[in-house]
This record gives sequence, structure tokens and C-alpha cells, in this order.
Amino acid sequence: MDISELLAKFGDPATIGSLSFADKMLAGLVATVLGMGVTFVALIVLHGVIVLLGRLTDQPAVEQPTETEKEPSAEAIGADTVAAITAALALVLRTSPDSLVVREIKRVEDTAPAWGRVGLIERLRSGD
Amino acid sequence: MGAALLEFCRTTGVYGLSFGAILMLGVACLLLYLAIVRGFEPLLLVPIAFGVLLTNLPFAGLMKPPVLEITAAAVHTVEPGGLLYYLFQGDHLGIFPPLIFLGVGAMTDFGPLIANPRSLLLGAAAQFGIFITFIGAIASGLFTAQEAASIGIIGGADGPTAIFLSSKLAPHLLGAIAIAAYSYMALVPIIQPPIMKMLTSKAERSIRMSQLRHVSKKEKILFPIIVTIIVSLIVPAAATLVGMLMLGNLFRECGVVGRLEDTAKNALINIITIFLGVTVGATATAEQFLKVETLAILLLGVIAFAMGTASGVLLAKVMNKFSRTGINPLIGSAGVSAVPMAARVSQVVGSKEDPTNFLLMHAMGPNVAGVIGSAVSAGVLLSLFGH
Repeated sequence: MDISELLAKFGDPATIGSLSFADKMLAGLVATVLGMGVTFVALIVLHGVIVLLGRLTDQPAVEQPTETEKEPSAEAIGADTVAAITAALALVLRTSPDSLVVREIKRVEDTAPAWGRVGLIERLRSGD
Repeated sequence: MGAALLEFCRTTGVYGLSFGAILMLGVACLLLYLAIVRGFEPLLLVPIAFGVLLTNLPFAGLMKPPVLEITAAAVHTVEPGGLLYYLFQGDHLGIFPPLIFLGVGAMTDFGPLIANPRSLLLGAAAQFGIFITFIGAIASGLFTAQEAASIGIIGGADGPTAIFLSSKLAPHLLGAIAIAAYSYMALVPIIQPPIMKMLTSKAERSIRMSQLRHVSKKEKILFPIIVTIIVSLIVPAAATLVGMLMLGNLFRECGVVGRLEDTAKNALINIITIFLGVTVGATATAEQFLKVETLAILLLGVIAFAMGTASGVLLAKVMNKFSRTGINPLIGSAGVSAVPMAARVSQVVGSKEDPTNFLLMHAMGPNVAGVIGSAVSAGVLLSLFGH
């Protein structure tokens, strides 16, 4: 019985019972060698590709001091936000957004105490 | 009147309680205790344990398949199945585990692995536990090759992979295998340290590793794409798991689909965890669970974990001998996936020798490599023993 025939019998729940203990162990060993072999080959190939990738993207493989990644600045205001603020202003001022030119938008540090903020929100709500 | 009362009594669960069901309700309560009071993997163990509880309630029929009437023209549902039966189809058809992997990918930073690609070898070595256990299960004479492969995969220390493979190869053992896999993952901090200490010297445990290099954004974006292509070309059967893992990771790294990343790693993975946990638990009915085979699975599972840990540490020792820069063998044990618990164990054992030695990021490399490694091994087993 050659190896592929043995594996076929081993892999079939109906025929595995007909195999001797030694045959089952041999088949198990073959499956192990095959399984570990393929796992290693796949990960070694990946290893090679990652090393290559590191070189191609101009990252020297030698160690470098780690750079701290810059967090996106909280001050950066996107075009969507600018549009939303302009629209809100136009609504409050009852003019067309076309007549407004936004030159600068600054985030105002809110240092008001919590009670003060609650009072402000209540006043704003009662306004309409 | 009396007869009606008697008839009613016969429909209550109390009448249907068997010894096995009572025992399984006890097991469910024990698992709930471990999860809630002892904090053992509660996010998984609470739904699993409750699934065990629900499925063993007599006459409740939560896992009951529907009664169908099949005629030449159509299929009629005479009586619908139980809720958990329908949810279980997500496990049975292999849908839930890859979706969990999508979330895991969105949560995982492969940076430490890209910075130190040698970690991949450790991730591969730790899969040896799977195959040793596979041979052990065959030698026990209790299991077919399919069942043995499903038991061996417990050594991959990766719940979704274990569920994925056993749902395809040995669905009747799914409950026992999933419970063993998740319980041992929770016990990693107890199982691993003695083995790690036994196989390493004090000097080896104190080795300091050089700082990891910076990994560029471009590398991090290309990594999931390349891994998917290469792994799927070598082991097509692993494409489902690795593909979803890497898709989740691409969501994370590409930076243009923040909403998808957020859903994958929060809402989606939580929803799937609930479905998967409860239904996996629900497979553990008294008839299925209270068998000699379950004890054998629990025993073989712990051997699988131990062997995986040992082979990872041993390969790291060998690599340290031949490497110009030092490799602390303790990071080898993290190759058995169980992210990030196994990496944390490497850090804890290392810091016992030298509190100023930080191995955590170095151990994350083999740790995430282990996830890829166990998915590849599962793919190999699936292609060897599927159908």
C-alpha cells in the first residue's frame, strides 16, 4: 500500500477501522510532516516577502529609534465642518451662504464650569 | 380533572429531567461561576455556559431541528425548529468563525510581526502541538482522522479556528472542542509558565531584545493584501479564515474606512460572539457531552497547549543560538495564538527575572504569527481530511 492510498484510507471514516495501529501511526506521521511542512513553507515564504517589502519601502532593516506617530491634530478642521459652520451661520444670520466668506475657524477652549454650561444650554433652548 | 393535571405535569420540564440533564445544568452553572466570579474569559464563557444551560432544559427544544414535509413540488415546514437551531446554522455552515476573524483582524496590529518577520517561524513552530495531539488522538483509538484533526486544532489556541475546523470535520464534537479550547485559553497563564521555565535557563530568560524598527504605513497596508494572496495560493482551504482576518486588518490600516473598521471590531464581533457562544454551548447536550470521548478531548487539549508552548520555546532557543541579535526564548511560547494572553505571559515570566525587561511587543510578533499559523494548519487539515 503506497502512501497516498494509505492516506485515502486513513481519511475515510468508513475505512480507517481496517488499518492496523502501525499503519494509522504512519499515516498520522505523514499528515504531521505534511501539515508542519506546509505551515512552515507558507510562513517562510511570507517571511521572505515581508523582508523584501521592508527593503522596497525604503525601511532599512537595521533598527531605528522608534518615532512617535503624530496624532491627527485636534485643531485640523475638515471641509465638511467648515461647510456645516457656514450653513449654520447663514441660517442664524438669515442670509445666503454665498454672501458669507469664512476666513478662519478657531476652536475656543471651553473653560466654563459645568453648571455654567448647563445654564447656557438651557437659555439657548428656551430661546426658540 | 386529575387526569388533566397529570397530563399537564407530564409537559413540565421537571418531568423530563434526566440525570444527564441535571449534570449538564451543573456544568453550566460551574462555567458561569468561573466566568462571572473568577473572571475566566467572561465574554465567551458567559454565552457558552448559558447555551449549555438552555440546551439541557427538558422539552424547551431550543436546539430542536424543524420538522419538514418534503414533497416533489415543495418543502413545507410542519413545525419550526428551536431558536438556537437556526442560529447554530452560522456555526454549522462555517459563517461565524470567519466573521469573528474579521473583527480580530480589525483589532490586531501586525506591526511587531512586520518589524521582526522571524516571529513567523515561531508562530509556525508552536503549531506542532496541533499535530502531536492529532497523533495522540489517533493512538487513543477512540477517534477517526477527522475527529483527531478537530481535537488537535485545540492546540492552535484559537477559538474561531477550532470551531471552524470542527464544524467542517467533526460537528458532533463541536461543543466539547469549543469548551476545551476556550477554557484552556483562559488557563494559558497557568499552563504555560511552568513549561517555559522548565525549558529555559535563567540567563536565557534575562536576554534583552533590541528595539523593534519603525514600520511604515505603506508596509502595514500592503501586509494584509500580500498575506491573503500568498497564503491562499499555498493553502486555498485557509483562504476563508486568513482572508477575513486580513480584510479586517486592511480596514484598520488603510485609514479610509473608519466606520467599517469600527463596526468590525465592535458591533459585529460582539453580535457574532453572542450567537457563536450561545450556539456552541448549545451543542453540549447531555447525550453529546457526557461521554468518554469528552474526557479524552479535555485531556488531549491540555497536551496540545503544552506541546505548542514547548515547541515554540524550543525553536526560539535554537534561533537564539544562531542569531546575531539575541532572541529571548520566552517569546516562543506566544506562538500559540491566544492573543494577547500568551504574549502577556511571556512578558510576565520575563519580568520575573528582570523587571526592567519588556518583552511584550517582541512577543506580540509570534503571537499574531500564531493566528496566521493556526489558520494555515487548519487549512492543511481541512484539505487532507475534508470530505
